[in-house]
Amino acid sequence: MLKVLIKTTLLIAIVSCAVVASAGTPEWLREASRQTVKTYADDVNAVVLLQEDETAVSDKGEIIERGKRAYRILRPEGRDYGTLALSFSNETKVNSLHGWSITAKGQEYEAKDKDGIERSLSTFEVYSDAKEKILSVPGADVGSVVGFEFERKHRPYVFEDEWDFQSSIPVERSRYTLRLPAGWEMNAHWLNYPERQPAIEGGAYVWELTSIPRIEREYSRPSYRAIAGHMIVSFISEKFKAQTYKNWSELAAWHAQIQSGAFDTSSAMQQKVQELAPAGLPLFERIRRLARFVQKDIRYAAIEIGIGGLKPHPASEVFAHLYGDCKDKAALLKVMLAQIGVKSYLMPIQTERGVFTDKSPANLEFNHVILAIQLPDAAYKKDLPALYEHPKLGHLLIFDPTHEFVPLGQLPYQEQDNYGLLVAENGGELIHLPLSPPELNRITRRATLKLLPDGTLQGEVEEDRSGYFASEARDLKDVSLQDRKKLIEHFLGHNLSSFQVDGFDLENAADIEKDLVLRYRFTASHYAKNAGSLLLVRPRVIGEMAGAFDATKPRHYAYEFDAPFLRSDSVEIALPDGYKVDELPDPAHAVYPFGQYTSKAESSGNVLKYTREYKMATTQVPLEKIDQLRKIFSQINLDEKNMAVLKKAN
Amino acid sequence: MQSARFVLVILCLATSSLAFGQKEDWLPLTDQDFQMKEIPGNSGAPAVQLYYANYIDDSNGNEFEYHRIKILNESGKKYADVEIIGGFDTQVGSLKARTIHPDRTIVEFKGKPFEKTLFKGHGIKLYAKTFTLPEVTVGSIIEYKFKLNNYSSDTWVMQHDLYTLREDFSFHPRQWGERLSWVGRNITGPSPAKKDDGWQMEWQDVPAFEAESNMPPERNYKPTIHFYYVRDDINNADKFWQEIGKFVNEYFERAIGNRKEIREAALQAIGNETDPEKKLRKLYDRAQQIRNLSYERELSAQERKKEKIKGNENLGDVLKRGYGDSEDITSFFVGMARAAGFDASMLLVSNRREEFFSNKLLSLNNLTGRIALVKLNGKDLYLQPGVRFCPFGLLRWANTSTEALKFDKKGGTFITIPALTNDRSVTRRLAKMELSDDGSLRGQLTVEFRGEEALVHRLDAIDSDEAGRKKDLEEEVQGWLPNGAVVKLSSAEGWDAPYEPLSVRFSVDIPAYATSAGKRLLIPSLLFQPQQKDAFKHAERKYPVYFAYAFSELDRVEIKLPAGYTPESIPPKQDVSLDYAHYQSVSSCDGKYLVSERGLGFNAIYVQLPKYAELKEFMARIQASDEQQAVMKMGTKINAQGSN
Repeated sequence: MLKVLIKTTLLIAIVSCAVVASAGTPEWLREASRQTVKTYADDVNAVVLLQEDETAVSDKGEIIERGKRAYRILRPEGRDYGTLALSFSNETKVNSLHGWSITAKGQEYEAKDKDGIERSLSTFEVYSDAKEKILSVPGADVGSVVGFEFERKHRPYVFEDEWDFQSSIPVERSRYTLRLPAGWEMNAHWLNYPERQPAIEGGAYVWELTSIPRIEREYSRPSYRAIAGHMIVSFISEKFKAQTYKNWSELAAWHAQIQSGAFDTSSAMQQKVQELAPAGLPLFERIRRLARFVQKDIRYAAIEIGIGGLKPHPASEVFAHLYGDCKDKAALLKVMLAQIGVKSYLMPIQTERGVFTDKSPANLEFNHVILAIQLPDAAYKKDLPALYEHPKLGHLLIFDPTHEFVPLGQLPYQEQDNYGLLVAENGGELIHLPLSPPELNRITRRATLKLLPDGTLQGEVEEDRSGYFASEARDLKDVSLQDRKKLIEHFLGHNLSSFQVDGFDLENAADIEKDLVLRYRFTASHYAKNAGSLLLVRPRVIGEMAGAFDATKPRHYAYEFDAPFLRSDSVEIALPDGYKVDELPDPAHAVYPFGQYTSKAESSGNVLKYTREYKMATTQVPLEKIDQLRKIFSQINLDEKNMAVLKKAN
Repeated sequence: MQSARFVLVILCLATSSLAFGQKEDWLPLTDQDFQMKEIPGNSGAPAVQLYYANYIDDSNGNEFEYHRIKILNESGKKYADVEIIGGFDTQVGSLKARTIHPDRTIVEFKGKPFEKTLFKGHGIKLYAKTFTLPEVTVGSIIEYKFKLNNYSSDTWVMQHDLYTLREDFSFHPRQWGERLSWVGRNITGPSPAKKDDGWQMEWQDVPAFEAESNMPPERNYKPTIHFYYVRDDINNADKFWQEIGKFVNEYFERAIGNRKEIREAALQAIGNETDPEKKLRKLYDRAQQIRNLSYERELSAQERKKEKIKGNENLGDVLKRGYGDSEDITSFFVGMARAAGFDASMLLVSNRREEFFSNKLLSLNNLTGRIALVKLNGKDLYLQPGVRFCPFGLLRWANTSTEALKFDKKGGTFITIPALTNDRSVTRRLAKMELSDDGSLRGQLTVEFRGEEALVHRLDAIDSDEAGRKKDLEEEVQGWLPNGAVVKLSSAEGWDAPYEPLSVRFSVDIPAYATSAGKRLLIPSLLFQPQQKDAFKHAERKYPVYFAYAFSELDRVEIKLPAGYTPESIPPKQDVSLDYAHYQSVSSCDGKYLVSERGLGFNAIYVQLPKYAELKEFMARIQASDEQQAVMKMGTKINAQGSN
């Protein structure tokens, strides 16, 4: 089978260049190629000379999208812009796709429809009907200008379009034209960019921008979609009321309508609910057991055809097969909860935090579905981190049945401080999901170690993980013992030069309601360094906490953390007989409102003690506070290198 | 002069078999299948393959596969998602699948598999049949079987990503008159047994394959049986290579020829030079002046046509057109050397980057490199003018310590290309730094890459622009330095000068390099972090330790100290040796400067498992030495010298 794949790879390489030599290069591309070459940063791979999109909506509700692209390739890494991929599906057809290039030497090449190839866009899905058509143009080399023209026909489920004018490379000119039939209206919303009003040209709305800077690559930057400028436009027609929306409530109603056929049940399912959640149990426990069943025993498998990307499969089928995707799991849990009298609502969400904000216009940019469970008073627990108090619906406990390791009552980190669309029967709203406090996401590490006279360090470390840190590490339970040991060795290898793992164990890995406890024992030779009569010991021993940061360039964006957290280390090193602490490193102290790092090394009898705490109270440090964050990272880096000096007692 | 032309010739000698199979019913389910809870010796593994079958029926052109897998934990459920790749002329047929619950009830897969397009265009379609098995829980047994019709396969693969309890193989040959033979690699179980006119084999308890860092090429450790058809008179590998050698020789002799224009070119290149080695060097330089297309972006057929680039038929074409691929350029050099009176020939050399060569595998697939062999003053000289930037006398590492086919009109034999010794691959680092009162370290770092190190860097950068080279080098150096180091390249010289070192200068800024403890300042004396430690994190290994090539690191670090500190303790001299490796470090301090020198010479590429412990200890001692710190104290001035 491997051979078939290898053949395919070669084939793609060969056929992608099998194109006609005589080039009917269009004038718009020639004109673009004559543009004066500007000076860009030396890591700009290519520049968009022209991005032109036209969306024409017909009175029948079909959309014709026409596009032109012109790129100038500036670096070898920019050659990829000589290939254009257009997505299509059962509802979207690529009518035409052409490409051309004008090389630095002035040679011209053309690639036509027939030169393109198709392939599936399925990745994590078992199956999806989403595909892409790919066209590569010969001559795409440094100095070349490449261009494409295409046309796609859409039969949309909802009348919505996007103009993505900002990119990872600079855009010199971007133009978007919208043609609507008489009687249609549109709503345009600008995100992450100053709003512009359209011109009216020949009855069409036209927006145009020039000299749009690129989105920079930076460590721990917010999600690309959360910072890239784009415009979302919705079209409204009385004739297609079922496919148009004016606000979140109408979009939620549309979701409710397509979900409506999924909430069936079966006698087997009803029996399972009784078996899992008998009436005698407290209500919260009944909810928890059903949630755990869907979370754990329904295997994630996505099959998405047509509207199947948005519409759940019937709950009875999902229950019978024991597999489904996120919306299938949410729908099944909704049906099972309904049987015990608990109401719930599906909630589409975007897993990249920041894409939706309280200012976001209604749109379909969701990629995941979770569930809002309306907790009756009998099941209410006030301290649950995932609780949302709704003015009308009361206590909504937000739960993700797809994430196997986040218990009922908590939310996966990427869904916290995020926005989800509450889909009620007759509408809904976008709601802001709660953020956990740092104390919920803890790693508490306790090391009890002994230093031998030859510099060898040995002992045990216990790590207690909760919240985010626990859920991210619980998959260790499904890792073989051999691989678990390798992971521990890999971790220790960052900080110890020569060591062996003497033992390890994992507690509560499968019990997601409890903290995860990891213990490992090790012996590290050459740990303490001899320096004449002195012995130098790094009291921190293990763990690196500072975030990645490029200090060579100015920062453009906020710094993003997965979740608020609290990490604390406590290390006790029993010293070898005859040695005492001669000098200790200074304590670390970097404290700001959003986060802090403190540490202290001290000597107590024959024991060297070291404690530190790193707390982050937010998920995002804004640009104006980046210098403070850098100071925290610098303090951590320094503290992690610090050594204590031991001296042999006379 | 692409050696693809060999293919037809070789096919006459040995042809890989075309595939296919035999029918098989569901195997009976055994108590052992249901009782199995974990893999002995690998507790916690996600799943186990209870049974695997692969029946290749080359006479009917089809192949049968059978998988029975038991899910042992939650993450093993992923094996219930199945993807079978078909396409070209291959059809996936006779697909059956089912889930067997721990209580032995059986749920048949009744759905229709989805067809996922992997590639469609130009009249070709490649697809995957995908499906997911129903009602899978921990403890379930899932099994599926299918037939690939019109599928060509010639290899049994015995090791999978799951531990496999039992596996059956058969190969039924076509009836075209050739003799079917096989060659095995890493055979740790029974060998194929003859049955009727084909072969069959059964293996048991085959562990999952797990790669390790710094292991030799993985392919050399995965057991496989490769089938091929061979002419009746080719009764052993030596005979095969002898015959191949004759064909290859004929091909190259025809291509190199004895042309007047090549003789003239050789004379012109040599000029008045009389010393044999200098003459040869001039010919080598002349050959490397030919535009080497093997190191340029691959052009489409239309681009080649527009740029009037054609395939060279002989050395006359190479000379006239002024371009060629690596093989053309090596041939051009051999042709000129012969014209100048040298005994010169071509070698087909294997490449050990992806796989170690075995001449038992009767295939030219891994003999992709070209080396010129020249007798100079009675000694064999191996040269690679076809490798861009490769200086006279150096070879590309992947073509050293490996076998090459030497051929003449009598046939082919194998010789071993000599190893690249560590003195041919040197990284020299000189850091002139100044330590501030706040512990930060700033200064200049000069790095010289010599020999193979320079060649590797030059070839890696061949398709990069200046910004790309800068970024790559800065990232490489950053990897040598402590966390938080800021590295800026200030100049790089020698990219296009194969006989000069590649010399790169950086400015370096390392915050918090030295740390304080009371009145003491602790300064790491050697700036650079050890580079090879990843290979030695794990207590045990399954496979030998492998480095691409032998190497040397020579470092000198000069640190100007802040005023007011005097040395209290300087790291003592370290000297560690193995048969094939040597390390030394020495530090001194005069109160103003802390100066440290370090040398590591590693003269091996392959260290067998029994020597892993000694090598691990060697590396641990190096790392401990590299992490030593000088202790400075406010106080009386003392001159200190590192000592044992």
